[in-house]
Amino acid sequence: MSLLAELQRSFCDGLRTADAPDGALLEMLQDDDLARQRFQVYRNNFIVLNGDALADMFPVVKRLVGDEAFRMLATAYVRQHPPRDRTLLLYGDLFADFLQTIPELSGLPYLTDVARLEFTWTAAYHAADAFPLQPDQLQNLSEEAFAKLQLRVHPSLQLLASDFPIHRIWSVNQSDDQDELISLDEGACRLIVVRPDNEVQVRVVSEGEFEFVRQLMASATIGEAFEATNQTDPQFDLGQFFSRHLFDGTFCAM
Amino acid sequence: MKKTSTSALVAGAITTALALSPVGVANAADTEKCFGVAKAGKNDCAAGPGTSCAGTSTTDAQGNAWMLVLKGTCEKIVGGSLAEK
Repeated sequence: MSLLAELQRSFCDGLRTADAPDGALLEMLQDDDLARQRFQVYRNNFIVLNGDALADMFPVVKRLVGDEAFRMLATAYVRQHPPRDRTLLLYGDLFADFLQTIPELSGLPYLTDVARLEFTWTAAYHAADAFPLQPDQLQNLSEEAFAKLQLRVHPSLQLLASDFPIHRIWSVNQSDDQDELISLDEGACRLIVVRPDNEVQVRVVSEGEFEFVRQLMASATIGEAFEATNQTDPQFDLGQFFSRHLFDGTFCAM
Repeated sequence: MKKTSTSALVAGAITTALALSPVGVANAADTEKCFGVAKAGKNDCAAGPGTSCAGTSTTDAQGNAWMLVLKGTCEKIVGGSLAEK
């Protein structure tokens, strides 16, 4: 390995530990106290600013565990999963999985899913735009053709299911002045996260709505998706679902 | 037979949606997403973090003290058989 490559590698490794830098880097820095201090400043910025990006991405998780605990979690995450991308817009994609590995958080079993919801929100926010499905695109079709149609969901659309009432936890913690008691016994929830125009929507949906959209995303035709959904949730009302969502940007132009 | 009823149901649902859809409204894609414009408190991930010199006053907690001090609003979430602390 060339000296430069080795230096760069130990510089990167050095950023991810709390220990003194080692190897080629140490040789470069050991006789120079000022350089060593500068490295510490750089490393501190690396940890703190990437941690700030996580705090922006996961404000509810931060609120749930408190500032101090969040800062520790963020620091550990930055060391374990430093950014792989030049932008930090979607930094934290593995944060939910990471939280699951922390034994101290086992008392907050919903935290992982709340983190997933926060990441999903931002991913939807930055997802591609798309033109919504328009009524005139369906107007000239025969009625028999409808069931054979494949609808395309909006590129931002994501499904999220949790065993915990994460939507309630997430909404109540949108502001600091929340004072509501939430019971985990409220149970599971299913969410559709989508950004048809500029506003990210987080919709609480029924089992049927969730399944129907899941089927469509797996390239089922409307007819196939409807039949499969009927097996899971006989209460699913296709008429009501389409009246609300067929042309509201949930689906995009064909 | 099942097929007929499915396609009839689907056709009915879409026809209803078509009948209800307003005619000639503004295209939802007319609105443009503006970078740098985001609602406060709504995951406003600007380009700022990691790019500025801010933040040096916060120091990285040294050591691996995994004694997490949970002081957040998680105290207000109760119940659930899995959630015993």
